[in-house]
Amino acid sequence: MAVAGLGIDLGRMYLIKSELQAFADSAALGAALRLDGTGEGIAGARQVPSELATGPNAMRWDMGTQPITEISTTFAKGETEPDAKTWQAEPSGPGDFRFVRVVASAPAPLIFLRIFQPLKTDASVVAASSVAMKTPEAVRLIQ
Amino acid sequence: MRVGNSRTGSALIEFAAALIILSGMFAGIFQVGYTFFTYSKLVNAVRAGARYASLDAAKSNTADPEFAKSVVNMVVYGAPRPAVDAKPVVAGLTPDQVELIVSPSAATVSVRDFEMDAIFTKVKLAGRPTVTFPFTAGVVK
Repeated sequence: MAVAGLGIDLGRMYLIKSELQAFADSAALGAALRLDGTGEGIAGARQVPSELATGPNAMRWDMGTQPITEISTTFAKGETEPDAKTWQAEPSGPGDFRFVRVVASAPAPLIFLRIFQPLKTDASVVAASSVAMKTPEAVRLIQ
Repeated sequence: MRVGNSRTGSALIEFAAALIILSGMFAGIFQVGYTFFTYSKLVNAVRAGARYASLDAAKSNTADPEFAKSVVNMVVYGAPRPAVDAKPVVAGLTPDQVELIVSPSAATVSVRDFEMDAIFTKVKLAGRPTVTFPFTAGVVK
């Protein structure tokens, strides 16, 4: 019975992760599309995740009932892979930022698992991350 | 003998009472688990359809009917041109329950009026899951 209960909590977390991953993939691709080497491009890219998370066709989590609000967007330079040292949330100026990473997270409610937690919290943070790359020819997901 | 029969009767009553409670709990756990499982498959199917739709180069407010059909097939059957006897990836999902909305910049796929049948109850989904992907074909610098 306890195992079945744990399965419910873990299943819900897995489901939320799927929803957040779809959102992160879409947001990263959309943000990468806006990158054009200018400050306006970066500003536009930063707006994409919030645009996807709002409106009549907004993507949501917890079986499509909760709005996605915890989103972080960072940018990096690089050629074929992002340079780990250049990740930054708010680039100071335009530059050759070709990589976008979107991380979406949500507090997955816990019913049974909270018993086993030392802090007895009623939620566990589930996150999904996606990195997209912009090239002159295409935009694609790389992670 | 009388004492033994009495104990047997008590055990039967206890077993019956426990069976009723356990049956309800197992039914509930099955119901929730099956609902999560089915919804997770729906999310993946809708995501695959939206990603497929985002590869369309046409950026208008209307989708080409043939392409729209292939997107719907991608969601329902997991392939744009499924075999005649293909089965839906989610039991009970039909093409008319999948909606494709295109804008000049993105394609949105969602499920409308689909009932998840978890045997003991039914969960109606209206407009969820919804996945939007930006058009990524024909990107120019």
